[in-house]
Amino acid sequence: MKINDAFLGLILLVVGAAIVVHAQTFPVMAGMQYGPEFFPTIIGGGIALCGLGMMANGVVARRNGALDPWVTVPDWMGSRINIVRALGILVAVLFYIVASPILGFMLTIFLTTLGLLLVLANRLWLSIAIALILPVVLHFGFSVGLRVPLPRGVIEKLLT
Amino acid sequence: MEQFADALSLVLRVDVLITILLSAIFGLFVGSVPGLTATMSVALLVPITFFLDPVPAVAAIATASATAIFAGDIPGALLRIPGTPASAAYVDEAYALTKQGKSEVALGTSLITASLGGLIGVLLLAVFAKQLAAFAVKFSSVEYFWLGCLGLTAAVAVSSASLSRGALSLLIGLLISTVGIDIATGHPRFTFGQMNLLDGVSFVPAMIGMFALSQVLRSVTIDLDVKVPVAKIGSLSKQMVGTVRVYWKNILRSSVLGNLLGALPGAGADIAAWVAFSLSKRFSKTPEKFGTGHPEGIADAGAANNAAVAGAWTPALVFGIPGDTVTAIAIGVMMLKGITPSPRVFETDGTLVLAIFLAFALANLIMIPLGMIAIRLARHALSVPTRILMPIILIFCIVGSYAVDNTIFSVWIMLALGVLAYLMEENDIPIAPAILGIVLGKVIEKNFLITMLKTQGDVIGFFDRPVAAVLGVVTLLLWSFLIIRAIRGTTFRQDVPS
Repeated sequence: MKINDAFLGLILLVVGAAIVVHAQTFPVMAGMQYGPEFFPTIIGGGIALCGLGMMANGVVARRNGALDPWVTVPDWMGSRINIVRALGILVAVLFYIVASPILGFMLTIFLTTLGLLLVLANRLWLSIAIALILPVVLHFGFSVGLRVPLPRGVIEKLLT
Repeated sequence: MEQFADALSLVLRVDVLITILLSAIFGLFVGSVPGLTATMSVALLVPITFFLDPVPAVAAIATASATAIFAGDIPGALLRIPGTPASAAYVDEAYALTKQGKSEVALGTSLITASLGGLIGVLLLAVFAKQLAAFAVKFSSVEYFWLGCLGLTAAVAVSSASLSRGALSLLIGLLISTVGIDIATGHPRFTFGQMNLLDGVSFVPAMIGMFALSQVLRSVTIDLDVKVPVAKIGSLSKQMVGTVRVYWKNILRSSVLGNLLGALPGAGADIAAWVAFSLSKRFSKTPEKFGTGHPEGIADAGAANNAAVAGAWTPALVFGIPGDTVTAIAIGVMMLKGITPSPRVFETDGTLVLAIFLAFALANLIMIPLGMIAIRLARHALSVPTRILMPIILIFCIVGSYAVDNTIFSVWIMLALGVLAYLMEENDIPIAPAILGIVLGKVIEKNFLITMLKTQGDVIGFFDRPVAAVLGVVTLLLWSFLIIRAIRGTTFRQDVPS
């Protein structure tokens, strides 16, 4: 999603200013001119400056006749399938975050992979096959091979 | 000599050799899939390197990056889609050869020059890094402060975006680097009450998110059904011998050039390839043949980008300042493995460093046979559909982020920074300066505060040592130049009616 320069600049100006203001609440070191607030202040100021620059650019462009909307929706969002796919990726990650402590690693990965493959319109049997193989490969690679303590669930308890 | 023997014995071990072999195959695969970059291959490898010994861990990164940069040429030559940005400079040239039914000329040339460029690059790295280290031992916090600033400046200067967008990317990276406990007072900054953020934003999940997740998001929203016909490929070995005989001077020249460019922070393999290609055309005896399917430019640029991969390790090893995004990740891995990049790295970890160089050279050697196989198999690798590949990569992103410090919070970081990077690229804000900002932010702040403590707040302290003064002046000049160029650029654009 492409944000118009003037609008993006405004957001950056606000964010930069907020960082500067927040940084002033950091404690000062006794006898030191520069403390923990110094770098965040510079960074916040810099972001605000970039924002100002972009706003100026955007305003100039607008005066010269450019009429970009505030937010340009990319072409791919025109099709509902693409939105579902992009959301599918984000939901998959969120699902793992929520489900893996409860369901355990293998079951969560199976469900995540299967769901994603189907959202991306793969054939059902192929999706099931990949979704079955992947958690097993990862389990043996990471859990057994590299000894990463992946979240344990029903299936892991059966395996050991 | 004894050290060399020790280093050799560290490399010639079954586990190291297998790691190099597997990393090479992995790098070749990732590099040859359009849209997946060398940096992404490394980011996905990092969680695995955590569980390896220092030498195989670093060797895996060096190998995967070197082979991925070459493999990017394969879809470039066959389909006119560069597999990694480093192949973009000569993709038209290579594809022109394929159209004439001579893809073996393009691919043979790029394989042999990649390997030789990489080997020369490693040799130069071994020589330069040691010299630089001997000189840099005397550096104090001031020099490090300026080096960090210079690195960030270079990153903004070479990014193709406008100054405000490059600088913005840099500031975003710096901001991310300030998250966590402040080194001076121990005050938590920007942690939003999250215990998990006290140590700062975990680097590996951040990298995986910014390079892999953002790419997955982009890939699934474009056409999933691209079918690509791949042409037949003739004899490669004949072409490789011929290339060396005809273009050995080009290979040598561009390897040195690529190595130097790679050592500049921010300028990586892709810029090295562009510069080498344009110089190749300028110095060529037959510049009119460029663009019509002429291997000379491919030889130059192909050698330069792989030499740059090695060159980027020079500042990474000596100063802890990454020469490109791959070494930005490599520094994190080295620190974790107990190799602290510093001018004394050749004294403290001399054998290990030498072993890494040897592994790097080895990776460039086995690239020839493996590359030949990869070119033959390209037909299959290129036909793995996006719709199957992307879910699998996403799962690796999740597991990789999680495995680094076994907390679900890392997956959150991966997700957040992945979406951030996606939005940045959608708005033409480059990613590379942000990465350098994340890596260098703490270095710069720490050395600034140390210097300020030493000089008791006197700013003159930043210029009263000769090397520091030179570095400082160069940094300030570069910024003035950038600002002037930006101002000129905008006024110029205003004059031109759009």
